[in-house]
Amino acid sequence: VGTTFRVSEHWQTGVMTRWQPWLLEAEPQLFVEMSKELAGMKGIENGEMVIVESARGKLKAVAVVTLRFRPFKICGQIVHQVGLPWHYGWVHPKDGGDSANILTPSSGDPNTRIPETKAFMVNVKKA
Amino acid sequence: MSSGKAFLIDTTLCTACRGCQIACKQWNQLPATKTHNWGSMQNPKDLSYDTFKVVRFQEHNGPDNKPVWYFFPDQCRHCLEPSCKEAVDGVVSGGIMIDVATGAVLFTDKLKQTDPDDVLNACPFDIPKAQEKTGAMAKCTMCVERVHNGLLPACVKTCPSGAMNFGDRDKMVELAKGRLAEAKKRYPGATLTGLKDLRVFYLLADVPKMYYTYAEADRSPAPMNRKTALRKLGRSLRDLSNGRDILNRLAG
Repeated sequence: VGTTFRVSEHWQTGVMTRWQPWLLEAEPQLFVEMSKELAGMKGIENGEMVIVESARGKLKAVAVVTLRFRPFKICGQIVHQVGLPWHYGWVHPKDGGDSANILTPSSGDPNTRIPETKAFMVNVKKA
Repeated sequence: MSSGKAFLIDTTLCTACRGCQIACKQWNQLPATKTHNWGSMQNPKDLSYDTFKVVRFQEHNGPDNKPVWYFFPDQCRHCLEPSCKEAVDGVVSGGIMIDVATGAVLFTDKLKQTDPDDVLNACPFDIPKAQEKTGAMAKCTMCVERVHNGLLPACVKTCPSGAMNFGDRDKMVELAKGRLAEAKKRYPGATLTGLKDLRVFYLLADVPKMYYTYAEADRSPAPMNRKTALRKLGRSLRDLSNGRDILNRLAG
């Protein structure tokens, strides 16, 4: 299950903040956070480039293997979660990575029209 | 004589927003360095000639199997008796100076006349960094020009959580002790560093090594190699010819 979030250094798509050198220095690239368990299963090392893929598209991101992500046990089944910020993509910086919106579905809440960017199916594999 | 100034960095309040890191770059007009994500939010990876302040991130498994994430805003500690100054004094008098009013440890242009390695190796906190091409060295200045004009250092001014504090050293010692008592209720293992000999106190929720290798200094004296031994000797001779200090030195 994939989810998206923000970091405090960038605002929204990062189209403004990615041009601020100091902010870009602090958060330079798209990354994907995952648990040690998932990384172990997939043979992924912390800091290496991986491919995150959904039915809609795929992108490359730096793997951040962290204790802060843990597998869930849901109805007796182990479910892994990964998370990406969505501030990157397009022109600048060249090695910044793509927008996480490539992965997210365009379905949304019928009342508020908020798109479903917080829970969607993805696969992660070594690049 | 005043006790000078000091920082209290309460890491139990730090949210790692890195406002201090960026405010430091802004005030000192330091350029951004080219970074890449290396599997950690900590970026740039280390201090450098262009980075006087960096927030270090460290993850551990907590006692109840919940993750803990420690943040350590790293900067020059402005030691009361700086070993960098000690290392340089024998070579270039005035290469490193202590500001009288604040106690800030400052690098001057004269420092160019020294071997950078002497300064870099002298620091027990691994703070000073040399520019690759020129060998020029730089580090935190305590924003001494701001402080002299009644302003807070840039990092303290920008801190939204109350983690960064700055003021007269004796007042900061008091504040630190109060904060420690408060923190102990939530983190029984909380510790304070630097009260005795530094101008930067860290309030940590855990033992210093859990934050960063050089969160606390290793107090054992650095092994003396031939070069530093000769320097020290040269310095003593110079003092002797000036006819001062030598008796104290022998007595000490």
